[in-house]
Formats: sequence, C-alpha cells, structure tokens
Amino acid sequence: MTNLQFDTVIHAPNRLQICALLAPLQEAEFQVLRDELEVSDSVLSKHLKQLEEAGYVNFRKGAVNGRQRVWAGLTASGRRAFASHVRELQRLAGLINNEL
Amino acid sequence: MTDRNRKSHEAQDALDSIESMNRAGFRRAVPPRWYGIGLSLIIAIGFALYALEDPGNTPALFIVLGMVLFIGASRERIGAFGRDLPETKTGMWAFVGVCVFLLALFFGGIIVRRAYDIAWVPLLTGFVAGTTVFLLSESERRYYLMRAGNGPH
Repeated sequence: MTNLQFDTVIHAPNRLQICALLAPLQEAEFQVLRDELEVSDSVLSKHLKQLEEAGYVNFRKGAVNGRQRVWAGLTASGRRAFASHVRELQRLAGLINNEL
Repeated sequence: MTDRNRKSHEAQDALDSIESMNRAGFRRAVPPRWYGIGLSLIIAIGFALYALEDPGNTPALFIVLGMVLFIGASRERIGAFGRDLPETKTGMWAFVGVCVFLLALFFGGIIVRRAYDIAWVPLLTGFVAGTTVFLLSESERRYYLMRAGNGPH
C-alpha cells in the first residue's frame, strides 16, 4: 500500500518547490534552484538547510571555472517523503480515492 | 466555502505548483545536442581503438578517461542533470539490455578482429556503438522536452 503522509517540512511553499524541482533530477546547482524559485541566496540557503536537517537533501561541492559551486540533490528518504506528500495532496484534492 | 473545500483547493494549488516546478526541472535537465554528439564520438573512437589494438593500450585508456572527464565537465557546465538510472522497471530492463548489447559489441569486435584479422570490424563496432549512444541521447532529449511541456524539437 502506498504511504500517504503530509509532511510539514516539505509543505512550506519554497521547500515544496525545491523538492518538486529536484524530483526529476539527480542534482542541480544552487544557482539553478535560486533562478527557478526566484528567491535570494539567503532564503534558498535557509530552506535547503531545513531540508538537509530533515535528511531530505544532501550537498556536493565542486569547482566550475575556478569558482566554488554547490550542488543539491534529494536523498532517498527525501524522494520517498516527497512522493508520499504528493499522494496525500492528491487525496486532499479529491484526485484519488480516500480509501486506499 | 467549507473547510473541506478550502483544503481541497489549497491542495490543488500545491499540486499545480509542484507540476510547474517539475516541468522546470525537466527543462533544466534537457541535455544539449552537443553532449550526445560528443559522447557518441568518444565512445565510437574508444570502441574502434579497443578492437584495433590489444586491451590495455594506452591511447584507448585515454579515451575512457576522456569520456569520464567529458561527462563530468558537461554536467558541471549544464547545471542540472537527470537521474542517473531509470526509475521504472521497464526503464531499468531497457538500460540493462543496452549495457549487455554494448558489452557484447565491445568484446565481439575484439574477438572477431583477432580471430579473422578483418580490418573494418573495429570501425563497424565503433560506428554501431556511437550511433547507439547518439540515438539514446536523442531519445533522452525528446523525453525531457516532452516532460518539460515543450514537445520534441
């Protein structure tokens, strides 16, 4: 049976968007996340840190053209939590049967 | 509006936001055409060199190293890339099938060249491998474009 779990960490609008953006990806650069979410560096960093503390996101650092860059990707538990949260949203929206 | 309807609307708004960001993710992950062309050329040359020369040949090893560096550098430049492995069972089996095919092609080319000393076999091996990789890359591009809502180009 598929888990349905409303996740308050994920549900905050910016963090929900971060997870949705990362879901089809292996990793994305910090700048990509910032540009797509249209938020400042500090706001994005704050939300990524909260997701990291929940164990949903991990980071990798790399150098591009001599400049340090940070890459973020969903962890396995992050993907499971996000998928479960989406299923719960679908149930709340009446898109799937309430009884599973 | 009842509480239930309000929650339903809020949930739908969240799902719409997820869909929009999901598409953005796929859009960002679309590999540029030069990536597929570059990768297929490197693999074609690598396959041909391995079949032409004995395994462990230094130039062929440089090709393998070049492929790893090319993939790594391309990913860093593109800024986002799709999942390394397929997520569905069908996709995984297709991936395994392609790997088996390429391995068979790789060793088959070496064996045939050594056994029959046919000069054009390594070139054919490289051509088939490179074409396979290019077609797979183009297929991936179309898939990501479709999921991004842009349709294949």
